[in-house]
Amino acid sequence: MPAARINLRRWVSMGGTTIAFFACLCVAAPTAKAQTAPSTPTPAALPAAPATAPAPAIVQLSLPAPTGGRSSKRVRGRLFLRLALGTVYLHESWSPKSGDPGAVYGGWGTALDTSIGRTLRPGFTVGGRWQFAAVVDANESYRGATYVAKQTARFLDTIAVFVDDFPNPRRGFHFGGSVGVLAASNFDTVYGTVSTGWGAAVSGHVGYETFFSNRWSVGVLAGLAAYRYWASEAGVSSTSNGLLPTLALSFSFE
Amino acid sequence: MVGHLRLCACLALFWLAAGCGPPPMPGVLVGESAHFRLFVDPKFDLAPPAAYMQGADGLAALETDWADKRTMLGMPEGRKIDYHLLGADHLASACDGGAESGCELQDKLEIAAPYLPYQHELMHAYMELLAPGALPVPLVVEGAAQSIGCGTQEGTDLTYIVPWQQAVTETSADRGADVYSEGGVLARYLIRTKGVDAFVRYYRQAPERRDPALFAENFLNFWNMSIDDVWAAMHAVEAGAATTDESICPCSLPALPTGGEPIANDLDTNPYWTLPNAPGGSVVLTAGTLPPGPSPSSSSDDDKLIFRDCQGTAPLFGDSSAAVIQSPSDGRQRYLQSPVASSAVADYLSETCEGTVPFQLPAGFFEAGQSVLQTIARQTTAAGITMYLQIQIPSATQVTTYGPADEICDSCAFDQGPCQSPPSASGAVVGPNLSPVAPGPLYLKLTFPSLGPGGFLPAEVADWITFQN
Repeated sequence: MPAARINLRRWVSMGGTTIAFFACLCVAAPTAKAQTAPSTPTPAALPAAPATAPAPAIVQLSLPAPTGGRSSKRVRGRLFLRLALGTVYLHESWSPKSGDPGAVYGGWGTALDTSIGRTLRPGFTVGGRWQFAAVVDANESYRGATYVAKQTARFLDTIAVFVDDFPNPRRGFHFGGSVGVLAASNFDTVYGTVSTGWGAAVSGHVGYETFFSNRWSVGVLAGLAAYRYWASEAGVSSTSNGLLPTLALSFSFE
Repeated sequence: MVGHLRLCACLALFWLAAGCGPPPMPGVLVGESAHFRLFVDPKFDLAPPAAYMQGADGLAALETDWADKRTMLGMPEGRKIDYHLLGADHLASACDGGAESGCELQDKLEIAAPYLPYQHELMHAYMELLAPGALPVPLVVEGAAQSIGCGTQEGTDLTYIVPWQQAVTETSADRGADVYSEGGVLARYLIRTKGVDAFVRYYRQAPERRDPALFAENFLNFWNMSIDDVWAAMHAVEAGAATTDESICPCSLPALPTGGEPIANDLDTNPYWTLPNAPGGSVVLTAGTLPPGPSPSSSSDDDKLIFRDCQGTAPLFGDSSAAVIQSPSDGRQRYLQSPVASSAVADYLSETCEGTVPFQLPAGFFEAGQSVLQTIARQTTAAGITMYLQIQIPSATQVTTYGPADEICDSCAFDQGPCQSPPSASGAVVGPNLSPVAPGPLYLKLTFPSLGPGGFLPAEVADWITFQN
């Protein structure tokens, strides 16, 4: 029986663990910030609403119930953090520069969206965003046939500026969008190889959130990102266009 | 938080330190040659027959492989390959825990194997020397390792076809092992048609990700041929070719000596013999026995003469204890791995009975049981051919010929006296029945039939004579 070749599997698994490690840190960072933030807003940060105003009319989801009696309001000038974790579907077309037939990739994956910003006015936030999508073992349709290369992964990283607006700061509905640069990395874990292309991405999202503590809210976030990136691999220059619909559970701190 | 960060960082560093590659392979450096360092695991079976691998003989075998493959590949000097002979437990550990029979660690230029020379893994190492850091898709990597070797495997069935897209996406761990079989056929096709240098250049730049679309585009750009066309062509069985495809053997090792001198069947220096040229004549060979020790390709055929095409495309022939062979009609070299007791070149097979040179069968040739002498003649016309062979029989025996029109006689008087056809009871018989023959000369009139429908020319035609006491 012919023997297999041993290569960089350990490096790949190491890389995956490293990513998980940093993801852990990313998750831990806003938590730490939340722990050090004052539990109640300072007087200067309080909205101009009368003290006797009724509690915000936040629509209830089947998620954690809002804490009664707490001040849960979107105000200006606050730090804004949002973490959204959900599922994504990849649809990406690949076209070589030569004009020869291209391929279409598809598959379900995981999306992580980390945003940090500042509220310029109640409910309106601008900031920076890191969007990450990972699709493992995407299928590839090429010239009428579909194949799956096992032990492969496609990572899409976007660093973007975003806006997010609650039309009614007292309500949970919000929408927004982002534009940024994208790095698309295609991993083959068998030999631990990776290729990366660079491009741009735009996205839009809508969501609904409800406070479950004074400054924390939870909700759902639906998004659609469109991207294009260029790559050169094994002497083949190519352009890839893709769509990434996502549905995520979001946690926001403001 | 800082405390948690420190803890996480410490854990990460520990993990990194523990996970950076496999532990060093066990074993003791037992010798070093120009291109290899040989390590032997204490758990390696130290008893004979494996003992010969563990010292100078083992290094000599590795150097022989290097010198042979270098005539095709031209590996650069400089880096040495670490060859580790490992016991089963350590082999599994070294090869990433898999149930592998061996592996090559590309980044370290190390080979772990249970014997030597392991040609497949050595080819991995040679390719690393030729294309440092290149790591194409498994189809290309394993195909390259399967491309060049001498008697390493059974041929790949060319009628077995999987879509190339599937083969590109597979790994070496897939059950179908298509990256080995199909990859080997692909690599050999490219080497035969475009040359080994072009293949090495292709290897250096081939895609590293298993992506059919990328593979096809890169292939087209490099070769100016579509992978679809090449895939179809490499599976086509050409007229006269085998339906299987074997590794390419450099065939740079010496030809069998034919001057009557003793033949050294040392696996370390002569893992195979090339068939000597016999323009206008024929070669006779008798099989020998290996000295005590292992054969990396050990099989029940070790004591049979099997002739392989150095290009790996022509059918095998042989599988007998002795053979009389005319030079192959395609003009290409053949080689054989079997131990050989004797070989000589003369007009043993002749178009006239009087023109035959007697072939002295060695004493004891058929004393151990049934023995087969194979005759392989070159047919260049569609008409049937008749060849004569003279054998000196050392002792009384019984003979059977397999050609339906073959005749035997104790002289060249095939049409006279007791040798007249139909066979008489005196022993001049034809066909499957055993015929007793006395010591002394035995003449055979071998008739090869005319070319049948679908046949091709030129071709090798074979006949068999069986001896049994």
